[in-house]
Amino acid sequence: MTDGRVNRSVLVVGNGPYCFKVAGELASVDSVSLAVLREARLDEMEQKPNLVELLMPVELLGFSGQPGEFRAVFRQTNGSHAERTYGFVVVALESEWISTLNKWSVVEDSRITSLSKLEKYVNEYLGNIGPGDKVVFISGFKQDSYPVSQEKIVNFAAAVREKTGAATYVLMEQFKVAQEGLERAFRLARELGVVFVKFSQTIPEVRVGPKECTVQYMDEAMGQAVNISPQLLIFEDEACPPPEGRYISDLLGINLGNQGFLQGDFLFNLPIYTNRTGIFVVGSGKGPISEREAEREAEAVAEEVAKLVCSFDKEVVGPFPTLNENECIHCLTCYRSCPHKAISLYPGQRSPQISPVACRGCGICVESCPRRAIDFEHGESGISYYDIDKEIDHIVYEDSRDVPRIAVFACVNSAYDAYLLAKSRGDRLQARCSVLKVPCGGRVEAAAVIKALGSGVDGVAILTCHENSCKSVHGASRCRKRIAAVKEMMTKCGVKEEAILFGTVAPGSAPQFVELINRFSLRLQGGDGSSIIPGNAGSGGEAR
Amino acid sequence: MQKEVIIVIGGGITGLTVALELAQLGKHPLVVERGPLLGGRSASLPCKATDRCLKCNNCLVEDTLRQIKYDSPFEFMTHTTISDIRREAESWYVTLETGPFFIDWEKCTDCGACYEACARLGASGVVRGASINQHPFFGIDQKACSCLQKGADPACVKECPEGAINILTRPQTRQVKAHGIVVATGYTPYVPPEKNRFGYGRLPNVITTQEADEMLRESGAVTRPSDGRVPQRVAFVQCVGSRDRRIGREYCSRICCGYSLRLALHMIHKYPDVDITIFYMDIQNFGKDFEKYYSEVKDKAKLVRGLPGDFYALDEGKISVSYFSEEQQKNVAQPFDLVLLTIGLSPQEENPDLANMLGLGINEDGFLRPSQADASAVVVAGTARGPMDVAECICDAKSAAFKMANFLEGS
Repeated sequence: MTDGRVNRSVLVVGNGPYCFKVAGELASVDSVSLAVLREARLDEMEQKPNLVELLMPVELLGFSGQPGEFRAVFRQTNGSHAERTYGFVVVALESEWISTLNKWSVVEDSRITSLSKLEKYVNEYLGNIGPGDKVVFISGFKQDSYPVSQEKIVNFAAAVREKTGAATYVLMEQFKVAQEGLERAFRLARELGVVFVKFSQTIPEVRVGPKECTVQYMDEAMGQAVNISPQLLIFEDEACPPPEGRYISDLLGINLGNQGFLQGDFLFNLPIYTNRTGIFVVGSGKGPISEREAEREAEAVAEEVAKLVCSFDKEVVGPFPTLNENECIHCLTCYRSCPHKAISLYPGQRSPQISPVACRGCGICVESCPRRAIDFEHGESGISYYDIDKEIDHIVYEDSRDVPRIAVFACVNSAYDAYLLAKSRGDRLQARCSVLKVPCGGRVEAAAVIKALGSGVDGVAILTCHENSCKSVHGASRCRKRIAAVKEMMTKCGVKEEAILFGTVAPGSAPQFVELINRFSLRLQGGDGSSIIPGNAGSGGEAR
Repeated sequence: MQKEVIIVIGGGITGLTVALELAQLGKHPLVVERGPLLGGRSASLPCKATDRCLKCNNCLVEDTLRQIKYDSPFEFMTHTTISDIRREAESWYVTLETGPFFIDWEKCTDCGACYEACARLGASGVVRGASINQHPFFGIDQKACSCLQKGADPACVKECPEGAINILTRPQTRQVKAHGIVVATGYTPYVPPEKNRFGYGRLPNVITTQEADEMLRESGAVTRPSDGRVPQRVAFVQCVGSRDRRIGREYCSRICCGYSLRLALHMIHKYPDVDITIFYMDIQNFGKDFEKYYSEVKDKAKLVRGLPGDFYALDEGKISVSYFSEEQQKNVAQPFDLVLLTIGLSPQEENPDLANMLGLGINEDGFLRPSQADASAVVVAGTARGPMDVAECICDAKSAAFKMANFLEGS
C-alpha cells in the first residue's frame, strides 16, 4: 500500500439483474458500490439491497492500483467524473441470449419467434393456440445448447401441451440434462405428449411461405421424411458473451476467455478467480450457468472477499520480492511481465512498487529483470529455494558414473510434488538427480540452466506445470520458450542440446515424472528411449 | 470466550475447502473423516493432460491439500465416525468414535515403515495416499489387515518408530459441543449389479472408469487387466448408472461426459494409434470451454449415439460389443480390447440416516438438501447435494463456508 490505508469496500460491475444479487451478498461483508453499465428498469431488478450505493447507468473510464486501493474513474449520466477507491472488484456481467432466427434465414413474426421473445410475450404468442394446432421448438443445430435454455424449452413445451392441447414437438440435437431435475422434466413432458425428436445425421429445414411455415425433417429413428406446418415455431437462442466483457477485461487487466466470455482459460482461475488478486468474476458472463449455480458463485465471492479482508489484518509472511532501487533502471520489464499485475507505477515514486497482497511469489519478475535488481526476501521459515544460484552450488552427486547425473529444476506446484511422490513410493530413477525446488518454471533463468550444466552434471531437466494449469498464468509457456532459446544458443556454440530437457508433469503424476527422467537418462546415455519404455513422453512432452 | 466449533462431516475436497475457508475466516472447524486419509475420492484423480491441461481439476485438489499440509489451519480426525448427535438449545452434542485401529496423525511422520511392514506380509492393511500432499500419508484399512485375520498383533504397530499406531479394544470416544454442522459426505460411485449386460465382473477387460482412474494414477497408463497390455481398441460406454429410471437413477451425473472426453484425448495423445469409440446418449456440456474438447474428440475418436446391447467374450481377452449403427441402419458387432464403463455418481447409502439425525431433506434423486431456511446451523455442500465436478465443489464449499460464518456471526 502506498499510503498504508486499506480500503475494504467492493465495486461490483454488472449489466443486469444478477449484479444486484451479488451486491446483496457482498453487503454483508463491507460497503458496496454497484456500477451498472446500462440503463436498466429498476422494477426488473432484484430489490436494491440496503447499504449498496447504486451507480446507474455509469461508464467506467479508468482503473488502476492494487487490492485494498484500486482506483476507479467513472462518468455518470450527468457527465460528471468521479474517482473512487475500492478494496476489491467483482465483475458480475451477464451473458446475452441472442436470437438465431437469422441463422435459419427466417424473420420474426407472429408465428416465428425466439425463446427469449416467447418468454417475454408468452400470453401474446400462446393466446391463439388451441387443440389441433401445432407448436414446434428447435434446439441446437446452429449453436450450442445449454441445460439452462433447454430447461426453459421443456417447461414451455409441457405448458403449451397441457394448457392449449396443441401438438407440441421439440426438434433437437442433444438432450442437455446436466442439471438437477431436468431428466425428470423431460420425461414428464413426454408423458404429457410432447414429442421430442433427436437428430444426429441430418438437420431440419424451415420454409416460410406467406400463409404457412413448414418444418421438413428426416425422422432418423423411423427412416422417413416428416412435414409439419406449425402455428408457432420457436428457436432456441444462442449464448453470447457480455458485450461489455472485452472492454472491462482490458480496463481491469484481467484475461479474457475463449470466444469473448470472461475469465482467462487457466485452471487456477476456477471457479471465480482471475489473474489478479482481489478481482473476481461471477455468473453467466463466463458462460451460461443455471440460476442456482450463479447464486452459489455470489455467495462464494462474498466469502472470498471476507477472507481477503481478514488477510489484510495479518502480516505478509513468506518469501516476497523486493526491489533494489539503486539497481533499478526503470525499464519496466517487471511491470510488464508480472502475470498478476502486482507491480504498479505511481507518480512520484522512484521505482515500480510490488504489492505484497497481489504478489503470488512466482518469481517471474526476478527472472525477467535485466539488472537482477529484484530479489526474494526469505520468509521466517528460511526457505531458500528461491535462491537458485545458491542451490546450484549445493548440487550433490555421488562419484558414480553408472547412471547419468541430472539437475532437475522442479516447479513447486507440480514436478516437485511428483518427485516427492515418486520418492515416497520407492520408484526407481535411472539417474542420480539433484532436484531444485523452484516457485515456478517462469522463475528459471537461462543463466541458471547454463550454470547448472557447468556444475558437472550430465543433463539438466526443467519440469513445470502444463500450460493452462500454470498458477502464474504464463510461467510455464515462458519457461518453454526460454529453454528452446537456450537450446538454440547451445547448438550454435557447438554444445549438444540433448543435455537439456523441458517437460511438463502434474503434481500427482509420479509415474510420468519417472518416465520423463528415465527417458532423458537413456537419451543422455545415447540410448533410444522409445524402444525400452512404452509410450511416448507421458503426459509431458518435450519442447520442440 | 469458548471456541465455536463447527463440525465438518467428510474430509473430501468439499469438506476440506469448507474447513480451510472457515479457518481463514477465524472460525474453528473440526473435520471428521471416516476413512483413513484426507482428500476423499478427488485426491486420487489422475492427470489427464495432453501437451496442455484439459482441466480435469486434479491440480486444484493438490493445491488445496498442499495448503492444508503446510499450514495445518484446522483440526481434523481420520478413522472417525459419528455415533450420536444431540441437539440441545443452540448447540449440537456430537459423539465421535475413532478407531479402534488407527494412526495418530499428530505423531505420524509419514515415514512409511508401517506400509513396508504390511507390504512385506503381502497384505494391504496399511493404505498409502495417492498425493504427496496428503498428511497423514498412510492409514489403516482394518478389513484388509491380514495380521488381525490371523489373530496376530499387527506388524505395523511394532514397526512404527513413533508409536503412532494405536490398536485399542474399543473405539476411542470424544464428545464435542458444536455450534454448526457442515455435511460434506460426498457421493458413492455406481457399481453395476452382479448380473449386468456389460459383463462387468465376469469379463476381466470390462472395467469402470473409477478403476481406470486408479490405474492411471498408480502406473501412468490405462492397460488391460488381463495381460497388462496397452489396448488398441477401446470402447467407452456412457451413462452406466445414470439417466436410468429403471434402476432408480433418473438424473444425469453431469461429470462423466467430460471425464470420458478428457480421458479419450489423453489416451490418444499418449498412444496415437489407439482407436477409441464412445457410445453415448447425449454429450453434456461440462465446465467452461467444453466445445473445444468436444470438437477435438469428434475429430480423433468415433462417437456412436446409442448405448450398446450385448457384450460377450472373444479370444485373447477381447470383447464383442453389439450396437445399432445409425449409419448402416442395422445391428453390428465390433471387437474391443478394453471396455470402460463410465459410471455415474450415486447418493451415499447413509443419506436417509444422516437426514434423520440432522433434520435435512432428501431430494428425488436421493441426495441431501437443506430443509430449513438458509441461516441454519446445518449446511450441505458438494456432491452430497448432487453430482458436481471439483471446481463446482470448491465453489459450493466456499458458499457453504459463507453461510456458516454468517450464521455464527448472527447467533
